[in-house]
Amino acid sequence: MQNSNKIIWVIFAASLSLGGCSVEKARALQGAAVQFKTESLAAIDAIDQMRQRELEAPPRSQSEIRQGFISRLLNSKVDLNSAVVDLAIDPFKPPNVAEWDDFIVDLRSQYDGFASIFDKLDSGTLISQAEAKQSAEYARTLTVQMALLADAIAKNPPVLGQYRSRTIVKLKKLRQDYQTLLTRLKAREAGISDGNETLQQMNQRKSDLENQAGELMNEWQQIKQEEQKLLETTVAQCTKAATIGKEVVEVANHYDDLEIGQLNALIPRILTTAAAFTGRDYSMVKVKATNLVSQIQSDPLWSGVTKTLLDRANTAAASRAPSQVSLPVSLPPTSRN
Amino acid sequence: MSDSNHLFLQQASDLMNDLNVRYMEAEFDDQVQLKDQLDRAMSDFSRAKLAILKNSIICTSDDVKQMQQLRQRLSNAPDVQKILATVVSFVSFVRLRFL
Repeated sequence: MQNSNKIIWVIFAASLSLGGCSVEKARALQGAAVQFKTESLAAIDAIDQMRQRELEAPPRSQSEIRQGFISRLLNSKVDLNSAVVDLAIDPFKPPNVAEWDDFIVDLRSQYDGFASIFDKLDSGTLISQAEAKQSAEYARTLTVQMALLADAIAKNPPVLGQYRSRTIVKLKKLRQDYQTLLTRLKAREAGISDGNETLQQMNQRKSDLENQAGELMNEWQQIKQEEQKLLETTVAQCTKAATIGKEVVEVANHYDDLEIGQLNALIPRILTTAAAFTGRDYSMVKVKATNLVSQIQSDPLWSGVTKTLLDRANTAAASRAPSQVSLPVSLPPTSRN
Repeated sequence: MSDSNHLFLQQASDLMNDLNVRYMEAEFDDQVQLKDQLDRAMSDFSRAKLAILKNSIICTSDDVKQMQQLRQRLSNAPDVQKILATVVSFVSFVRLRFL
């Protein structure tokens, strides 16, 4: 039997007729495999959450939505149609990106393929060798994908684009108001009056604008903290899943040589090590993610799956134009008005 | 993963932020004109990022330069038509080159 499907086969066999010690060994391994299943699902959810948050707009209250709609629609001059009304209600709704949907669906189907074997085991249904082999292949592919994604996301952190842009818009408006006010204050000091506002009121407004700038600094810092949290959570979760997956498959690879005592010592150590990847010590997680990729690329047990995935990617890259593309400037007809 | 991939993504991300700022600052009638192309740009940027995360893009220094030039063009765009033209260029570039 190939190494790749050993883990599932061992668990499957244990559920049927192995002797006491073998059952104990298989159960020890099954605990780790179930943990890999749980962590893989959490990693897929984290990736899904990350990609959605990167495009989403900051939330608005019902009154903001209503007031914004009234202002936009009543001041507009474009022909009204359904699309324009929808846009007036929510001009910041992000587009759906089918490729991301497909990618997440693909990850989830690999997970489902791996997880289904456990459902069958729990229900006592017989499992064919082909099913066990396929399930183990899912586990290996998921492990490699999680390792590659952890490393790639660590190198290309998520950006909350619409959140950043909204704060920049507020800062630009605030700066403009502040500089206009300063000009008026200087004029007032030079004895030129340009309105009913008293000097005291103008100074109060200056102070208010300065406070608002401070609040926007906090808002900006919160966005950056949120981005960092998203990065650390996603990378840590992918690293955790990949670490457990790698260790579990490797333990299964040496399953026949290991005594029950060794397994009982090994499995908790794997789970404890992986549990440490919480994102709290992100620098450690990042190093681990990079090391995992190096290991799976060089280890014969993993390099086959890794090469398949990277070859698929490289073929896609090679099929594209290798260098400069001229930039067209013509405009397409707009479809909204 | 190459440094050019990271630099390209950074430039493209900055360009998208600049574009979102221009869109948010625009009057509603201009937003109506911009929205379709903005959605295409956001969508293609996200697709390009996915391709980079999946290791299926190898960016060159020319790609990074093109992004810098497009960002400069957006920064200098005085009106909605020029913004639209830049966004169309961005979308075409990303699609032809990476998707």
